[in-house]
Amino acid sequence: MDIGTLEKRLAREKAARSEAEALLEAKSRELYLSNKELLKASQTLIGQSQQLNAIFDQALTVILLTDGDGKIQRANRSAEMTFGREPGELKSTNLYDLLDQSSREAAVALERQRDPAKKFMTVGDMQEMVGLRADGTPFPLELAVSVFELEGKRHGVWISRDITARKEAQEKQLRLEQELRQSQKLESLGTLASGIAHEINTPIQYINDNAHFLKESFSDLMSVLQAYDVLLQKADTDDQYKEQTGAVRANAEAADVDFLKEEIPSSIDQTLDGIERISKIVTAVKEFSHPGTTEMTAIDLNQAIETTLSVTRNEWKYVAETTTDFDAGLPMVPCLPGDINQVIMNLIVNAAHAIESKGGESLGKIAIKTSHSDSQVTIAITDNGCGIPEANQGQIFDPFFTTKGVGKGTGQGLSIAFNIVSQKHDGTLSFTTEEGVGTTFTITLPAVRTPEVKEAV
Amino acid sequence: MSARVIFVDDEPNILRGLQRTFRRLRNEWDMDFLDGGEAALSHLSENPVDVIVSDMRMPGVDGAQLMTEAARTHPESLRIILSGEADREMTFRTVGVSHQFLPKPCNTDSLCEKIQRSLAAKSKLPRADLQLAVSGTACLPVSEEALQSLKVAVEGDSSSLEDAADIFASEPGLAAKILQLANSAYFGIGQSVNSPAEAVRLLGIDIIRPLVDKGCFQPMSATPALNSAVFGNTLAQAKTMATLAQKAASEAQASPAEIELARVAGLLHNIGRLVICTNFPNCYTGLESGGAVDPAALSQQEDQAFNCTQDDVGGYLALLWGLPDPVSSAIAYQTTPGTAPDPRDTVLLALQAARQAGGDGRKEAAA
Repeated sequence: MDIGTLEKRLAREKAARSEAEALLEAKSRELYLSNKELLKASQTLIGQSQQLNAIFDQALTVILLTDGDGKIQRANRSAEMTFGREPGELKSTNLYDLLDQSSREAAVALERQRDPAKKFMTVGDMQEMVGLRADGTPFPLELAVSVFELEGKRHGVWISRDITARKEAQEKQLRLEQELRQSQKLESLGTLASGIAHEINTPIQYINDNAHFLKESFSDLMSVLQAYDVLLQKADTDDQYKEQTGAVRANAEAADVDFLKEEIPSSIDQTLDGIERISKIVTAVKEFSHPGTTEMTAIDLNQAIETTLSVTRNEWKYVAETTTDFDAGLPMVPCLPGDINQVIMNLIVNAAHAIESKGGESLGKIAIKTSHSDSQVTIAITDNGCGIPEANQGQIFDPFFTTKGVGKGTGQGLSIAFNIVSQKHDGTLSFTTEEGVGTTFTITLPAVRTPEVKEAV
Repeated sequence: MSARVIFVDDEPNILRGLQRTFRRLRNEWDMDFLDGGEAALSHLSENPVDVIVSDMRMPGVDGAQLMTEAARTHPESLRIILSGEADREMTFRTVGVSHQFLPKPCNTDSLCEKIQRSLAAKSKLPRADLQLAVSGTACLPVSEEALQSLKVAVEGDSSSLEDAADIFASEPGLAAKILQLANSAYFGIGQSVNSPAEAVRLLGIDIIRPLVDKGCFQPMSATPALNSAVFGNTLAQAKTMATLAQKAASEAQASPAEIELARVAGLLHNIGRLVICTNFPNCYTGLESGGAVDPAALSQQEDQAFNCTQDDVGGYLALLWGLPDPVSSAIAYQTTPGTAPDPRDTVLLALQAARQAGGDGRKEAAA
């Protein structure tokens, strides 16, 4: 090979090499750039995934991912806390096992209705169901599900929320409304009753006056009649008046004067007795209704009980006898008279119902006793009725709890009574009971209400 | 002379009923039955009247208007309202111008007894101007301090019924008036209340506050001629006697109700003097020397001026106002217990004991 050829080859080789080097440099630069992109992308992905996990775990709503059979694949922290489970414990549990019997089928049906093609639901699709905590305690929750397909398999995303607090608030609201309705009802009843009482009192005044007048006048007439009798006997001895005395005797017989002499006074006495009873009832109704008294007023509780007994008479007279054992030295007690009357009424009516539901041939007994110490007064209302079964004892002051048939009670009586005594009067309402033997409800109220003490509490 | 009594009601049946009931008293009382406020006013304009028993709600001139007019023209009369419920505003207008408020239906026997006892108490006062002073009394003077603290107690957001009750229980003028209102049916059904504090609690702040605002309780300064030394002494004595009578009843192991009644009787034992010193301020001139007042001299002066004792005056006022019976009786018979209907009554005995302990500064009457 000549030198020229060699030189040419060398030159070619050099060129090729430098070309290759340039290419290498370009490629390596390309590689570097693409590597940089990749790193960035992967960092973004990691960030996004962390964000999603954070959202999933921190969401204040229960989020559960299940397979098509309801087996939980992923559960967030909220889910574990709501159902009372340890971290990780929910995985592999079946969602449907977290619900009570009645809700299980509903949840399955809810899931079945969903079409994977339609991805989005509205909030309105949440359904109220009953969930179970780890120890099996039921609690109200709302639940919704959306389904989707991943790698050809059906999955469900469930969201849920514990609505215990909301339910309680709703119940409280309902109870307040009930109480308000009840007190409005009583108030308008009170206004009506006191109006009627006033209307009745006017005629009672003159019926009473007239009956008294008749009674006195009749006894005056009787002495006149007696005097006439003497005259009649005298006239009998004289034939001259035979005709007249005959006529008098005939008239007296026709009018049955002997009967009248006996029956007129007793009929007037009975009338007076009836008037007295009516006016007692009217006074009781007036006192009981106390319209417009919405502030603490001192009342005589013995009197209030007497009044309540007479207005509720119709509730107990066929089932029970009532006896009272009043503490004569009972101090006046500051209270809301209408409310306290309502409490006493509720307890008396309850006692009558307890006796009624026990049944039995003879009349039951309702005994009411008052007593006091320096700081408080006590009213005990005892019946010998059916008593309260142990299972119900914890619930009797709960709103809407009732064992009475429809129309007999709203389940509000004792709950309202409890509220009135404890909340409005700083008192206590408690009971002792024995099934089949009877129940005693005991109310205690502070005897003197000093504002200072109340503020300090 | 028979007492002149008028009954006023727009319901004819009520009038006829009352007429029949009281017919048996036709020899004792000279009665007229008038069918409304107008008829009553025209009767009043022409006749003297001792007792007025009137309904409240009547068309035209109502009971409150009638009583207001009667209190002006016939202050010597005993004025009783006999009514079903009346609205509160109307009732407030009768406080001060009427003596008692009886609810319908009322027991006519007790109405009759009330009237007869009041008339009997009235007849113990020989002077007509003194009779008039008692039945014309709308309220008794109250110390400025008590009235001031009462206003504080009932007004504003920090009003306290308990504070008000304490104040009412401590001044004769306040205690007597509040017992009058609570024992009658002015506000509510009217029930037997022995304690001023209880009366305050029973009536409640909604009634006490307007009573204070409307000037139902007058300070002593409302009577400029009132002898402040005599008034001060009367008040101080009332408080001393209240404490002593309460103590005496408590030592006699009386019931809590009787102990309170005894205290009230002590507090009110000289309301007669309050009436006299308000209406006849000149009665005591020349008696006080440098602020010191001798109660015995006051009594002597009263006896001479009126030919009766302040007990007769106080007893009459207590009956007119329908104060608890044991209190009225104790006031009226405190110096002559032997003539009392029940000389052994615990409250009367407690007041006796308080007097013997020197509470009223009077000399003991000869046994």
